[in-house]
Amino acid sequence: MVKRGETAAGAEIAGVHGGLGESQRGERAVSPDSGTPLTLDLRVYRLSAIQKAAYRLAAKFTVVLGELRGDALSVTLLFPSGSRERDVEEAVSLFFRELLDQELREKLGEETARVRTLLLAHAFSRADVPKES
Amino acid sequence: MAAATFRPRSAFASTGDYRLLPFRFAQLSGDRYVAVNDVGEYVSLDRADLVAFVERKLAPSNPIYRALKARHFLIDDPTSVALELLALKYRSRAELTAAFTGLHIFVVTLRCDLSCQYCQVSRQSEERARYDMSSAHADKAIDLVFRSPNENIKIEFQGGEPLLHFSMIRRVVERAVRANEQHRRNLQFVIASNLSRLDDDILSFCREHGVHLSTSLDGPADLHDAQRPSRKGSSHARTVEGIRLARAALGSDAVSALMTTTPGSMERVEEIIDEYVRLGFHGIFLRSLSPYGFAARSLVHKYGVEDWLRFYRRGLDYILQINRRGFFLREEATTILLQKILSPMGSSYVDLQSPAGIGIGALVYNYDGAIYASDEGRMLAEMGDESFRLGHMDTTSYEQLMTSDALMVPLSETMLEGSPMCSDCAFAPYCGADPVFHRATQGDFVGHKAFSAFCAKQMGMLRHLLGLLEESSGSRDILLQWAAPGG
Repeated sequence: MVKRGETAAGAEIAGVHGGLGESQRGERAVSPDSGTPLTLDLRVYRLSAIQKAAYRLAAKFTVVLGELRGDALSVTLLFPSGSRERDVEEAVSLFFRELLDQELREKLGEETARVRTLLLAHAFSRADVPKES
Repeated sequence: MAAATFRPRSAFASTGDYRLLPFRFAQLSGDRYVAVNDVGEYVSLDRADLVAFVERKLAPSNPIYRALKARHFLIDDPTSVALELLALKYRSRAELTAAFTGLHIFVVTLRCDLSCQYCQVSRQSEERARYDMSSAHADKAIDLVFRSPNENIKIEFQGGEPLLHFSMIRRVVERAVRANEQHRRNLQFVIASNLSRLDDDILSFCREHGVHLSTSLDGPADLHDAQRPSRKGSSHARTVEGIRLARAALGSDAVSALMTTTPGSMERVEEIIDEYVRLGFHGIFLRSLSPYGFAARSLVHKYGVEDWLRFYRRGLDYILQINRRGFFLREEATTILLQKILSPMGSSYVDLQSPAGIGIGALVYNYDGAIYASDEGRMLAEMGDESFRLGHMDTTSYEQLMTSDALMVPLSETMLEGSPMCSDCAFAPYCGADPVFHRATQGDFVGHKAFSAFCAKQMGMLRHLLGLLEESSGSRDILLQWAAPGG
């Protein structure tokens, strides 16, 4: 059970500011029922990267993964009540930045997985393993 | 004939054709990122360079390329030297885990003479039989201590106030020393005490056996007394007097102190640090509240991680200023992280290990004979959650303890290498698994790290430290000194 009130929700996420300034529009609250719909191209962001980005940012907003049509995945970002338009725009910007980082991580992980396994095998190849008595 | 022996320098020049070695990355701030490899070596770089590097478009002439090559983020020659070195460094870091349980905590009594507002477990009770460790359990615990293969064994006495049951401390120390004539370990003893009960007899015993003292000092008298009230007058005055007596009898380094941050401490970090300097301490541990125990649970909600991080950054900045003025003062939480960042061996601090330090880093022998996987685990048990109770000294063998589900399940579930978010977190080599914290706050051992105050705190501290190491040469020199062996 996640007790959201007990945690530092989002405290570890360095915000990426969308440059909206202090506009009146940005101060308006968004309706808690309305989500922000987005369409993501799976040729650009693989599904695992989208899932990891959604997980990492879960304290700021909820990402609902929706219907897949061809390579187009529809997603909806849901925000806590009391969120303002400015928060939403900053969050969308943050989500796309996180998607790029997660995609880069997936690429890096794919490319280095074999050498990491080799490295660990080599590191422990001379380890003493206790024998059964 | 030298030409036949040595190839020209040009033969070693990078061609730009490189292979990536495993690493993780994280944003520091804005476009500034940090890349960290599996052995904790790091390079700070701009995002554009990071992307170019991963896409193998980074030019060998770029200074970042040379930094990445020197720290084993890439291979651009056919030799296996980089892999050999990385494997060696990885093995060195893993040796701390292989060494096995080094910290053994004896809770010799739960009785205490203070009523600290953040107390986790203590009892204001005179019922010795109910809250004191028995001789039989103490003797069994000593047998268990020496079952650990670790060459370095530290026995720490805790409570309650352990000096209220000093006869048991005496028994454990004497018997452990005798047992060690056969086992021949590097054996150390620490008493975690408010020092109010120190007397000549205790000090003489500590001197004879090289026993170190660790105490709590929350700051100036009014703050300390408000947080650690005593029915017998100022607890601050008694602790300060205890520090004076201990130093006179045992030497200036025989007492260390740590503080606990309450809402009342928040705006007073400079005063707290000044108190440590006034009393001649060269180390201070800025500690946030833990979510365990009686009153702590309500107190812990009165400030958030961001509040604590502001307190920490302000305190660290002040401590660095004091060092620049020529007084050596080390912040201990920072030093642990610096050792993990800068030392090839990392740090043996049990709360920041993967696999977690529970059981395999520390064991707790409770006053009632129960055995717990960590100090926080026994505190959780006092709140009714016995997830980390491994067994009982009367009924559980060492083999049963160390292979119990209560230990193996949280250990295997929480290794950072397999935990969501942690597995691709750049800070993982500097961090650790904390199954007790996540069990206490989220109800499961792993926890969702996006909602984890532990994760937010560690990342906040690490981002700040990496920034200091990169940006400020004055601070960097001081921090390097803290991380140095014996620093």
